[in-house]
Order: sequence, then C-alpha cells, then structure tokens
Amino acid sequence: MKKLVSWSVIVVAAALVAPAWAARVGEKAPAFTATDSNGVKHTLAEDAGKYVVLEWHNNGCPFVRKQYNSGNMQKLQKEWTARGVVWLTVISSAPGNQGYLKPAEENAYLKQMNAVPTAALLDPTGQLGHLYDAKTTPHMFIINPSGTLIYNGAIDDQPTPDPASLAGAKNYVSQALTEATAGKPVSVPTSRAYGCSVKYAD
Amino acid sequence: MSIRPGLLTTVMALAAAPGWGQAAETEQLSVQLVSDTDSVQPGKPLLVGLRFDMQQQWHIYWRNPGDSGEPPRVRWKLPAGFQAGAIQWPAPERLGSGSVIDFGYPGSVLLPVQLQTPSTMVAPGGSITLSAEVSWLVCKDICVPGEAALTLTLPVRPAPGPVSASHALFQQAGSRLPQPMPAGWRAEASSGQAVFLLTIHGAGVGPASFFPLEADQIDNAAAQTSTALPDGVQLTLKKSEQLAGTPARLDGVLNLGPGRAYAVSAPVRALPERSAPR
Repeated sequence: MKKLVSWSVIVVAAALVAPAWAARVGEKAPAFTATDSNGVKHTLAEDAGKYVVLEWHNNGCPFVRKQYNSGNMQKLQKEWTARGVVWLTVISSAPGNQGYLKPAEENAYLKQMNAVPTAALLDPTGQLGHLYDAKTTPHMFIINPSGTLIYNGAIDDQPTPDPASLAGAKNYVSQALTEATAGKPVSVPTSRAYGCSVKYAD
Repeated sequence: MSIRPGLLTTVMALAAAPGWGQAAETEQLSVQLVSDTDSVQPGKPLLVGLRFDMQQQWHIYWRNPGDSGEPPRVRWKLPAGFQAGAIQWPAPERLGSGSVIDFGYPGSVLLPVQLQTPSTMVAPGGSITLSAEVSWLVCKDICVPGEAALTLTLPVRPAPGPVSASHALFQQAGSRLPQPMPAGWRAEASSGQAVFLLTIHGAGVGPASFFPLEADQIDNAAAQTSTALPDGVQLTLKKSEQLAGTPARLDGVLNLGPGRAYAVSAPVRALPERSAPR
C-alpha cells in the first residue's frame, strides 16, 4: 500500500575522474614534475618568479594544425620566450592515440615546424593533463611569477579549425600576458577552451 | 596519426527522389539537404533539414558541443524572398568518457530549419533551388573538419503533393526535438557553492539528465544525481570550474528518455542554508 516514492539515481554513470581540485584562476597553480622530449625533468617550482604558459598539444588535431601550419603558435612562442616567459608545450596523448610522440619524434616535429617552446613535456599517462583538467587541444594556461593561475581557456576567440579565422582573431594568451606583464588585471581570465578532446588513455 | 583532409567525393545520385538533395560524402559521413514536402508553396513556410549520416563511431556536435568539438554551421544561399530560420537542434547524446564529455549526435541526425517563402515565385510549373554551404567537425578518437555545398531543387506548386520520401525523417526528427514543458510543470534552480540544484515540479517527472545551452555553467563530466521529490525531481549539477558569478537562468534540455526531451529555462536563486538534498 505504501508507495515507494524515493529514488536517487545517478543518471550518468561515467566515472568522475575530475581531479580533487582542478586548476582554478586566482588560485595557486598545481605543482608538477614532468619530463621533456630531451629527457630533462621540469618542475613548476623551478620556474617561480617567471610567467609560465602551458599549451596542450596534439599535432594531428585540426585546431592545433590551424595554429601551427599558419605559424601562429610558433610566433607566440618566439615572442614570449624572448621576453622571459617559460613556454611549456604538453602532450597528454596516450600511446596509440592521436598526437602521441616518442621523444625523438617530438624533437623532429619541433624542428620541422620551427616551434620554439622552452620545452615540450611528454605526459603519456595523462597525469599532468588531469592535474590541470586540460580538456582540449589546444588548451592554454598561464601562471604568474608568484605561482597563481591567471588564465585558463582557449587560445583565441575563434572556435573553428578554419585557418581563415586567424585573421582578426583575439588571442587570449597574448592579451593576458600583455596585460599581466604591464601590471594590469587580466581582462579575460577564463574562456571555454575549444578544440579536439585530449586523447587520454582513459 | 595523420588527419585526412575532408575532401568530398560528391555522389551523383541518378534520380534523386523528390525532397532529397544530392548527398555529399566523406569517409566519415554523408550529408544532404532534404525537405519535408515534395514541392514548395508560395508564401507557405517550408521545412527543410540537413541530414547527417555518420559512419560507425563518428559523431557531430550539438549547439553546445560540451568539452570539445564544434557544432555544424550552415550558410544559406536562397532565392529572392526566402528567409532561413535557425537550426532546430534535436536533444543530444552524452559522448566520451572520463574527464572530457561532449554533446552530440552519433548515427544519423536531421537538423531541421524552417524557411519563410515569398508569396510570389517563379510561375507554377517552375522550380527553385536552395543552396547551403555546410561545415562541420566530425570526431571519433580523432577529428576531421569538413564542408560541402549542398543544393535541393523543388518544384513550385499551389499545393503539396503526397508526402515526400523524406517526410518520415522529419517525423522522426520531430520526436527528438525538445518540446515546451507540459502545462503544470515548473523549473527552478538554486545556486550553492559547488552545485546547482535544478528542480522540476510536475506530474510524471522522473530521473533525468540536463544538457546546458551555455558552456561553462556546469561540469559536463560530473555525474548528475536525480533525487525524487513528492512533486517532481531535483538534479544535482556540479558547477563548472570556469563559472564566474551566478547566471540568471539555467537554460537547456531536460532529457527524460526517448521522445521525452523538454526545453527548460530555470531562474536561478541563491541556495538557502542547509537545503541540500538527502
């Protein structure tokens, strides 16, 4: 006779892999240690006192290719590393997935594309990607000299793989670095990262 | 590893059925322009659609693609006096796994668009041609952008003939389109520190999932919990890490199961103390 009106259902059974605390703008950026394509270990701590850019990368993703085939990403890397910014390209593709490269292959790619990040961090386990909750390639993060995350989001305001969109695009990374290094607040501290999904092992 | 360019090999249909345009085909999908009726009537709205048919495991995206991806876009080239409405987006599916969750359409989907037509056209007996430049991103484990110029030619007639061959597609699509909530239902939301509680009051509401129109309101990858209320259901939606401030409304699609998708626009108020469910 008593009707059962109580249910509580997890409609979506997907595992909640989201990190305990993701990288949130205005808060301390998560500390990490990662190995680059030359076998060198990098920690965020050693870059204290500098601006650090994290750029999630997958060389097969059309949105990434828009940036690299046009030379746009390389231009940003050159411009900002020349001004003392640490630019870390991160590859979180798992072995067998699109974008995964062995160290020598990544070095060959960097050379071929004239890419000049400070280092390319290889993250085949996805540990660093999950730590920052990187969702797309590209997905950009900026950390200020005191270790606070000041930008999390898209490379620019043109969420399309169409290279024609680069003309007139507002580049959020350039804008944030320009503002922050001039002592101004970052006017767009977050945006929706767009692109291909990061090809995690999952 | 490599991306194949989305080159198109247009299939030359020998004799397209009335209401079906020629399909453009890529390795990942075929897309064509279709119409609900076999002809166009001057001054009467004309329902057409973009029909995407994906190869297995490939999908295209909803208007809010979720954590990655990009919705298809269309640029119409229409005869004088024609005007295209917006794409009517069917309820999407949740795609992906782990921390990256997208919203989109695997399999086949029809994206209907209503066209307004002028009261005078070419003389009856003539025909008009609708053209659409369509671009899309189609993904499985990798993504491939594509584009196609599609056309559909329809005769101009004073009255529609027997239903077109594609009419069934539109009927099917109609059942996937979010409907207004039934009379007597009411949606409201409250904003806590880390979650939104979305409450739907109404008879017959059950466990549901919510698809937000806006990016960066809720954490797409977080599980959504449905809790029964005496007069409805309450969904617990984890807020997006990217959300700054409290939105005035939660707009989206409430999915209660096949053929039961509703458009929801819930005003958001601050959560009173200790009113979390359970």
